[in-house]
Amino acid sequence: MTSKSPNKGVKQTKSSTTTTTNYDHYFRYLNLAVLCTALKLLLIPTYTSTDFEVHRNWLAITSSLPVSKWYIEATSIWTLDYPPFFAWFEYTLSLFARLFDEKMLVVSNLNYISERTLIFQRLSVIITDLLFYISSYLLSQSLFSSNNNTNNNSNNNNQQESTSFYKDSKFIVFAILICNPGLLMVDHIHFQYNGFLKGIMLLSIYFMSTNRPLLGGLVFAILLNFKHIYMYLAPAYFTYLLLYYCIARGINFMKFIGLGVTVLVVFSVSLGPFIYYGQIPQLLSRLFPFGRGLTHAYWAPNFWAFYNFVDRVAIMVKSKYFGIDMSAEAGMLTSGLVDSDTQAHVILPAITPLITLLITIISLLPSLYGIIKSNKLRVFILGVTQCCFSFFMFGWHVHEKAIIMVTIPLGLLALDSIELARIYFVLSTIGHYSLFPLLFQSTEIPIRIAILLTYTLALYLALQSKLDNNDQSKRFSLTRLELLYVIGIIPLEIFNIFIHPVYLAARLPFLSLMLTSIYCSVGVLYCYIQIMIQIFKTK
Amino acid sequence: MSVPEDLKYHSPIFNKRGETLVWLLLISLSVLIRYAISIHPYSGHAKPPMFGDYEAQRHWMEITTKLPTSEWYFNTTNNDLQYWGLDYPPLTAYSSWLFGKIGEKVEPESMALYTSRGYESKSSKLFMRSTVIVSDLLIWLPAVLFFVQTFYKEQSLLKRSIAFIFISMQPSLLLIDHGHFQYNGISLGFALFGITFILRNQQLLASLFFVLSLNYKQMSLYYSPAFFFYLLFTNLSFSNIFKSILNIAKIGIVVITTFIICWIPFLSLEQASQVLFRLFPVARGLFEDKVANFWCVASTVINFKTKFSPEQLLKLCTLTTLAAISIIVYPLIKKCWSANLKSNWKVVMYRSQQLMFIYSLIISAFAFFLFSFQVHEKTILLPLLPVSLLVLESGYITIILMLVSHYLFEFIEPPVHLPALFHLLVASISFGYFCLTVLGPARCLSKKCVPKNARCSSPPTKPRCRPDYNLVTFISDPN
Repeated sequence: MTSKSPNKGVKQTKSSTTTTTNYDHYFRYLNLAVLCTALKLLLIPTYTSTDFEVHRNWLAITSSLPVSKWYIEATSIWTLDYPPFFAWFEYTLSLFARLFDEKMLVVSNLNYISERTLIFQRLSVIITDLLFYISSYLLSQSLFSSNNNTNNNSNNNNQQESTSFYKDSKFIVFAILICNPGLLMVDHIHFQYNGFLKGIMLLSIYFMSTNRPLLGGLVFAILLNFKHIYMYLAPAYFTYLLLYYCIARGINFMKFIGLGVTVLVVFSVSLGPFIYYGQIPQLLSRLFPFGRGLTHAYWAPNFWAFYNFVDRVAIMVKSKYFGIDMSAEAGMLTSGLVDSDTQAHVILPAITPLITLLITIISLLPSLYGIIKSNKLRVFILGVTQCCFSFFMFGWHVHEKAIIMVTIPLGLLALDSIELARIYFVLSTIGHYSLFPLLFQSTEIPIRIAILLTYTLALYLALQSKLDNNDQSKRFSLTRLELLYVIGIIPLEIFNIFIHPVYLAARLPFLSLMLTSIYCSVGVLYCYIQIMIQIFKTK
Repeated sequence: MSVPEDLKYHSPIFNKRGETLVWLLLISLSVLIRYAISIHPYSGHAKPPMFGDYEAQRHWMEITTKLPTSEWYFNTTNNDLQYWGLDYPPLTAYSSWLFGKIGEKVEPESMALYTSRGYESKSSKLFMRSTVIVSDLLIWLPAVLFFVQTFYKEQSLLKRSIAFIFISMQPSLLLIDHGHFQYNGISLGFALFGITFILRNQQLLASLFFVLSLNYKQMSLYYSPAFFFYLLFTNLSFSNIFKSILNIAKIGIVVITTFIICWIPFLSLEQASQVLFRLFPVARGLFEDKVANFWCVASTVINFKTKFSPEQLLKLCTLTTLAAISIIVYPLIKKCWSANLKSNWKVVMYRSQQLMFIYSLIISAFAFFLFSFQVHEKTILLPLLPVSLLVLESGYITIILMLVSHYLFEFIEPPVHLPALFHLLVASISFGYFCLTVLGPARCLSKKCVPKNARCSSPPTKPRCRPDYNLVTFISDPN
């Protein structure tokens, strides 16, 4: 915020200006981080989902049982189904949990919740989020550093950038990351540790961005052993590392072996004890529980939501106009949706896991093509986003929370160009809106609206002020249709809160979920196609 | 005419639409924070038999919707004044009635006579909490926005938004209204509207809003000396006696009419005296528990409560308060009359005159807070409001006072459930607030407090334009 002094030539003034700038610079980031933390602290007494009990149970398992029993123990239905590093993470937490309330560490204490347990668990999420802050900071700095400039906007004066926070690309990207409304809702209300895991993910991307691919690969391997859902990113990582680390300028076997050994060491540290106990099949059956349905009870806004929807509509049309009796299916239909596990398609062909895998692999090809074509960091991040996005769109039993895995890497590129800014704006609004059904209790309804509204307004202003341009056509603005679509969530939300529970909930209890899902999938599919176009456009 | 540097810099991005969006963003942020605070327990949660201020407000809704107005302030078979009897002026009763009518629709059992005492449910809490947030949205936030757009209109949008956050999100107000449960935002909002209209030199509107504030909570009396003297001196001129009498009479008519309209159901002597008796209970003692005022400090040396009778104490308090208030009289006279002379009855408001008005508000509110009889610790909000208004003028003093006001948190008793959580709540509100305003941007603001005035001809290298020559507002009076 220091203005350029007119007598810039004088050495003393110059140095004092730069020190204040630095001071302000750190303050800015610290302020935002503390502000976010304060908001998270305020959210402590909000509703917690069953995931709260899941993690409490894992704390109890890891603290009171030997390692050999971790993946066998099944007193609670919420068995340990994350990879070993996460179990060790829970073990570390349990050391501190002891100081708060010993009773939460008893395996048989099902659904135990006390004030101290609540505070401890909430605080553990908030404190481990520090890693997310740190890696967001590092990454936001490295993305816009002078030798690694991905910014297309040459119009912006770099000198001016640091003077005020709404012109500072680094700060805006940092803010976009750490204020992510999805993380706020899923981690700090619903209860999970995504922020911490996203921190590891960003750290890995940070190492890639600063040209330390081996370290990036190492951190990524560690991340995989925290939560295996990050396999979504693996194709992009694998291709990038293979092409630009191992066989850049001719095949380099030493690098190849080095990378292989690194990954192998991480996996053997993680899985070693369980290989020793001979529990690998047991562990794998926990990590990959087949037998779940194609979609969740609440359809994640992806391709299969459309597929299901078309199937439902077809049933309705068939029974109504062709007089074919479908009483069994009609039962499903009138409820608007069916239970996830028993769900089957009636008219359209049934989908098996193999089919989803094939479609996903085919849909991955554009991102891999992009990475093969260019070794730019921008393309790598875009590829990672597209990779996650493909799994989200076509994967088997995808959870709606997985959208955060797309919005976080895409957020890194939000200031990259007008097009990506637009895509990010639409996706962040719609994608995070699709998380609303997670927070369904009356107390949380105003919170979810306020969080998303605040973030969306701030994002719009930030994008507008940053991507400001004298040329009208190059300014950030949504097309009419996009704007209409984004604003359309307001009547939808009004319908979901006021009209549906009063008038329609008795006859069609899942109607609002279905509408939300279908409405959001339109936008998500649009963004998916747009990102694909962006990849093909890159030179 | 040259455009100020700040505006030039902002113009392409923050055009009119962008500015509206900024205000919308700030309002939605303040709703988010208010709502996040309000999910915590309120005062007296699950604490029979008397519960707390939350129960008092709910009880008033029950009384006002179920009983005729003639019984509201009286101890009758249906209205036990010992159990949270109504002790605020009529506007509070009316707003309780309004909220109570809505509450009846939402959850009838929460407003039932007798049976609803100590009624606590998740949905009724949600309803009660949202009434506070809605009244903030309707009165308090618009008042702050109006003030900022009037008093700081020469400042850049960034600075104005910081001022907005600083004033509207004072931790003490947030905690008392949304944590503890009260409706101070309404009365302070009305008072702030009054203050802003004074700053715009629209005195009739100003007196109207100030009377509304008085009729919502009698504690707004703390501001009355400042309003009274200011309105008196700006209109008094010996060179034009006829016009001064006319102006003062106009203000008097507005004040009296507003009062009468507010008090229509209570205009009989019996009713009015009973309401007044309820509003000013002098029997409660010199000060409550531990208030950071003069009497509390002095009591460590002299035990006033045993040495003097309550009557004597009352007189002592009145005298000291009057003495403390009298400080403002002379500077106000000087400023207002000199302004009158300079402007020669053209309605011009000088920056220094505006500042003087705010200073006199501070002095008179502090005089009451420090010296008057039977002060409640929550009334620190009254001196804090005008202090916070000066954030872009004299940042450091404002910030220090805001810090000091945190003593208040000591006095909000933590609820029975989740006491540890309560302290986290307090800590996070103050940390968040200081990050938003004090530590960061405001730190830079307080260095350059004078607005870059387009008409100010002095070169920018000069540290400070003399405020007297900073013509700020040119708004004509309706008279």
